Amino acid sequence: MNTLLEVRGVSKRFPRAERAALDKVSFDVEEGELLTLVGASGSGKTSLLRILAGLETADEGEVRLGSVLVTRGRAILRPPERRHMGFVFQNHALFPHLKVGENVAFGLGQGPSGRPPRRQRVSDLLDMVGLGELAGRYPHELSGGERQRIALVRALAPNPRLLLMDEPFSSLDQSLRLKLRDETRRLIKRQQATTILVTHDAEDALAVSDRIVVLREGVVQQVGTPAEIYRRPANRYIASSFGPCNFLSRADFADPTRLEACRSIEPPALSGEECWVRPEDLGLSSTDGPQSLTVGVVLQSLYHGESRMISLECPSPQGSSIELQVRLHGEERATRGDRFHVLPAGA
Amino acid sequence: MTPLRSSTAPAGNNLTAAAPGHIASRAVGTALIWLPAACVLLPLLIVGWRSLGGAGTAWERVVQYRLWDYLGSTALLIFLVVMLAIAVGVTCAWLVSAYDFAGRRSLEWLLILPLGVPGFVAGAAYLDGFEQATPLFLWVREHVGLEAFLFSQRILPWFGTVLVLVVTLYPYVYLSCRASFAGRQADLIEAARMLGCSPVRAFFRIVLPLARPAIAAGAALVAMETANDYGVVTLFGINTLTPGVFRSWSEGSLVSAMRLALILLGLVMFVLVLERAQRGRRGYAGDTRERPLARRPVVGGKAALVWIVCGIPLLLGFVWPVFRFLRWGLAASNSADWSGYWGALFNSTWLSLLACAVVVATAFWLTAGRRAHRLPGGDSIQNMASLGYAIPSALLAVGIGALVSDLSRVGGLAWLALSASATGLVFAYWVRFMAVGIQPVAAGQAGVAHDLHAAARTLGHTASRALFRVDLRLLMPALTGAAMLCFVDVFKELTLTLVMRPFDFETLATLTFRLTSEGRIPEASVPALVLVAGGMIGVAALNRLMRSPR
Repeated sequence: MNTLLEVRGVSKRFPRAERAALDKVSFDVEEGELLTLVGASGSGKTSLLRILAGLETADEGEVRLGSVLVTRGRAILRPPERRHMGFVFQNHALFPHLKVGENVAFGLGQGPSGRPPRRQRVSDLLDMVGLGELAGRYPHELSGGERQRIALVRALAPNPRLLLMDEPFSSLDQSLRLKLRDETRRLIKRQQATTILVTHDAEDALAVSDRIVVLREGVVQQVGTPAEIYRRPANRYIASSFGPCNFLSRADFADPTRLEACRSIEPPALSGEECWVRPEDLGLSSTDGPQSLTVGVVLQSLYHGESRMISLECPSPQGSSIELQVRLHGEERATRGDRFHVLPAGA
Repeated sequence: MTPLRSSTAPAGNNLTAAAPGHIASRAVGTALIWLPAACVLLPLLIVGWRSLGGAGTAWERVVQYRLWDYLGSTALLIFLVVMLAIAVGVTCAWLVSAYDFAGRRSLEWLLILPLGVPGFVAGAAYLDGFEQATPLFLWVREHVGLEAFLFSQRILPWFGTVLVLVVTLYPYVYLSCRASFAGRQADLIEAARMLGCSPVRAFFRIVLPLARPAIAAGAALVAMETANDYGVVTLFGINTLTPGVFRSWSEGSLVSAMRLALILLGLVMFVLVLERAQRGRRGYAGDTRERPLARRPVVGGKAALVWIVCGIPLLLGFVWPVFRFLRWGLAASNSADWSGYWGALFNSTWLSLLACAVVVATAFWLTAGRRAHRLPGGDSIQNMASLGYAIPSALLAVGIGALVSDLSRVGGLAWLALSASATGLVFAYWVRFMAVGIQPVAAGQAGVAHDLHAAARTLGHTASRALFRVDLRLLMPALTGAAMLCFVDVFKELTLTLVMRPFDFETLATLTFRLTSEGRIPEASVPALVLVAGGMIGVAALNRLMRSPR
């Protein structure tokens, strides 16, 4: 695979800001991959996306598209309209005075591919998202989901080399979000469009990405596949951001070596005094056994449909007590006050 | 406008337990809601009805000799003024919205200042420029020929009228465009650039089309003001419909005057229909969560260029007229008729205060009062009451003038003829400027959560008490703004005042206009400057009302 985009040491500080919005950010994007920038609000992910698009200047660092340097430090060497990047805005930014068809056709005829028959291309694109009959409508006459789809095909229409998406699903409600998220991934993959997607939603990131870049306060925390991020988080912040996690001290267990049977205990999680164990890597048993880590009393049991999240209070050898979260997938029942042995899942 | 006393309802409007007193008070309240709209329609009905009567040969003569001249001049003047005002207003609004330069914030409000200069005041400052140009015309006659000379003589008044109207009216376009450009378009412009548009192309494909309703709204105001203008066209001798109405009236042909006024109304309505029709089905408002435009900094020569471009209308519409009147005023201070000035100032002030109080009370009642008391009649009531602004002053004047003179002929009402001219005048102001009060107050109310009134009601306040303790307080900024605007509009009003005022009664506007048209411009400088100073109140109000949503 070829590297399409190289980001090298990009930093940015806004006037009167306490800290840098971006601090020496570096990563690569491979041709055809879907890369997600994940971070809480204020992590600098949107600023980064805007710098890549050429809508914002950096303070230092370089951005290369293909082998061409497009941004260097404060200089935008190539303006946004000549970068051949598509951008899906958070609020879609559909032109309210243009019909849907005109919105989609807006970027056509100026792309690198010359001037294809526009009308045909527009209706093909609209059909692709099943909105062929909406070409004559105005954006304010569409639903939120329809607007999102139009924003996506408008950005895809000129066959951009790189598609940038800024929180594209955040303005949609939950059920629609999941549907559109999957639909969008399928469309992007079918178009073989290299994509950078910005989101604050870890679940979205895990679901759609080929690779994930985790940003926190302008600093890249980890770059990896979803499984790497979930299974081998580089630090406690990432571990807790991408799903529930038990942060345990080895001193809380009579025999800490038994913890190593848990799947999520991988380096670097194992290295220190602290261990991070995901709730699904723990199981419960009513009988004692050689694998048993500790004994706990059920505090609460939350039903999640496909699973059940149990919180237990467990005495530690030091006299205090710790709280453990265990995810159960079977039909085992646990009610408040029950006593269980906690052991590695599958043991 | 007195508040409703819902005395019998224990805590607000309990419709199921409506006592007779309650029903009565609701009936009065409802009547009061409809009264302003009815009063706006009254002059229209009178003029419509009376113009059906026989006009004899007077109307035939008007049609034969003057009507087409009136129509042509009015249409041409409106077209020229509107086009140029759009060019000036859009350019200035874009420059102060899209660029950041030294003094931008000052320029932002300086550009509204010409709105505070009444057209006939600005016109007076340019009138004598014609005399200065005499050598130029002599040169034209000698070197270019007689035809060119005659042509230049015909063009010159047009040049003056258009110039004066454009530089005093462009702020309407400027203000509405500035509000549109301040609206969150940054995302849309960036989206256009990501789709391959250069910044210049993005301006023409995105910014301008999106601003079209704002441009049209501003342009409609400019067109109405131009159609209504009496002072400037009279000073420069252009025969438009408004002076035509008064000419027929002063010649004693009331029916001709009314018919001409109706034609003028038709023209204004045509403009308003155009303004409405251009919107179509399209959307214009961006998403409210989008970001406003980031201003591009410009320095040095480019910043100077921006100042020069924006400075020209400011100079022509404000600085130059004020400067000239200041100089005249200083030179002529010993020949000034101070008692006349004081009398005019007194008259202008009390008329403006009275009209402004009535208008603001009406606006409050039609918006907050109607909602608080759940009185029937939706927003259409507000729209109907606001129609007065579209009724030409000339039509209001002949309609209300006819009404007053008819009433005074009824037995026992002869006294009306004397006092009614002042009453009629305030009534005319009320009808004409009701919209000036309603619009800011309605906009202000849209920003006030209805929950706040509801909260007061659940805490045991009656509708009226909540209206005064909650709504009135919350609407205070909007009401103050409306009051200031209205005060200034009446303060500098010329057309209605000129024809409806009682005998020998001068306001600052009529005094300035009379002195100017008698060629006594230096003597007019004191009232003219006071008018401009008063106009600044309106500018301050506008600036505040425009700024708040940002």
